[in-house]
Amino acid sequence: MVRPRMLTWSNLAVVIPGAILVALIAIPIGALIARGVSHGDVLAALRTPFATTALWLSLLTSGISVVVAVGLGTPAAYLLARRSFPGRSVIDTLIDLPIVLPPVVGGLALLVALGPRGAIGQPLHAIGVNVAFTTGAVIVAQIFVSAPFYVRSARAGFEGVDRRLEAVSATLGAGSWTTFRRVTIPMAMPALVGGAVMCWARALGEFGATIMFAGNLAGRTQTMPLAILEAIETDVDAALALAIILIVIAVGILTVFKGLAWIGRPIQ
Amino acid sequence: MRTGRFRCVALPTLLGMAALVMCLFLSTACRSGSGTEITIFAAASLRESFKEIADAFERSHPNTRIALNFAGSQTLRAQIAHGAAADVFASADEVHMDALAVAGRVIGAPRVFARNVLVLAVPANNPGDITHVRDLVASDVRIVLGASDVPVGRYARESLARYANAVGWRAFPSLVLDEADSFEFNVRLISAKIELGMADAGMVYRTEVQASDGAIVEVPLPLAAVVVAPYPIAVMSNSKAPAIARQFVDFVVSPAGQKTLASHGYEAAE
Repeated sequence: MVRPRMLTWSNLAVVIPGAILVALIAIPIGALIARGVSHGDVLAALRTPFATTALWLSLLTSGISVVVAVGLGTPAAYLLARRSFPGRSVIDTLIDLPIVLPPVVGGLALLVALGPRGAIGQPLHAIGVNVAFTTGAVIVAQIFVSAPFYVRSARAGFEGVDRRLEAVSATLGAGSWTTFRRVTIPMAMPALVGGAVMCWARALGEFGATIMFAGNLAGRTQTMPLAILEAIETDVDAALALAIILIVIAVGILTVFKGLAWIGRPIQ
Repeated sequence: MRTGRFRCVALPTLLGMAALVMCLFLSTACRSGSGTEITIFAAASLRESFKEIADAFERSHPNTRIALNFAGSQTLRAQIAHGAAADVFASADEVHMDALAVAGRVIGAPRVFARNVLVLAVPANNPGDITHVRDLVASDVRIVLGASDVPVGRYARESLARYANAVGWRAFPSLVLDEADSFEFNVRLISAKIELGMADAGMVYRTEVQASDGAIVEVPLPLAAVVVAPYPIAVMSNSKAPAIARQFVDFVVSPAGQKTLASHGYEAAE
């Protein structure tokens, strides 16, 4: 094992800029936590119905969004990674588009398509289905903005699987589905889990598309980011407490998933 | 080997640090140009009228540039309370202005420069068939109001309560609030949702109906439910150019400013 030498010029050239970037992220988060803990009672904020309702709604909607994104995104990612078909590059670009677009544009697009007067919304409205202003609208908005993060990662994962291993599996008599399930998926697992975590994180933080397409109603569409904005304007300390709760939960879930990805890593 | 690694890291690193320094520079640069820049924080409903007033002010004060920041008055108040560099604040209600005055953020007494009338608004084709404020309790109507801390939301609650008192229907306000589908952060989000047909009705200012160019229409409120909103304006105590900020406030309340406001549907201050 090579011991890292700490104080050489080249090490400093790497460490100092890295430290600046880490500080740029760590200082605001640290300041937020420090102020929130010193000014307010985080646990008391957690017991208010305002916070618990928003928190539960955030966990529920982001959880459903990830399940849908994984369910629909895995086949899409596999096709994009393995098959060539007409329009493949167009679809590839299309799936990346929500990553680049401001989320509020996504919300506006959903509204124009699925709102009561929209191309799809109007026929749905006629048969009594209303998406706008419902918890379903929150989930649709989250899927729109977050699923591309999963598809990108899953696609890269499938592309990275050694095709020879799949060929070996086939020569051992495994059918294509068995090969997919027993070889391809496990090999791509770190990318799939990593993508799902990014997707979930994006869904949890979703604000712009939600406010546009789902509105802001406690218990129905008011997720944590919307609740935090509302709280900032009435009681900053409550907003800080909510932000700290969100940070703690996000760190907890990220840690669990990183642990899972480590356990599920392919054996080299 | 060591120098090789140094080289491949050095270029992007230097670029990154240069960009970061540039970013710090940009956050101060806008104040160092020639002339004076003042920043006006104005309620979302003032967007069109204040743009016009600011243009006219810049024409008559060639060395002054005006930066406008529009949002819900409660957002602007929170930003100012946390030290945002506003020279002038124009609020859609007195609650948020008074809170800043009590906190010592205001120079002198705020002046009411305009009044706005709260109205019931529907999309032009009125899909919810709403002809009266009492229609809002129907269960299949999608209603969008302001959140309770947003001026237009507070005025809406006041209007519903006044109507309830006048007709002796005490449950009316809570029936409407229970029916509401969304509580928005500023009046423009309400108007947009009505205009896009996402909502069947909402309570906004009369100036919003005029600004929508016919996309949303007003349903007259019964006299008992009418609420008139006073808009106060004041110079902020942390203004770096209080004299010019004061001139801007004077311009808003001058006949020229009042004429512009009237052309956008505002009532006179008195």
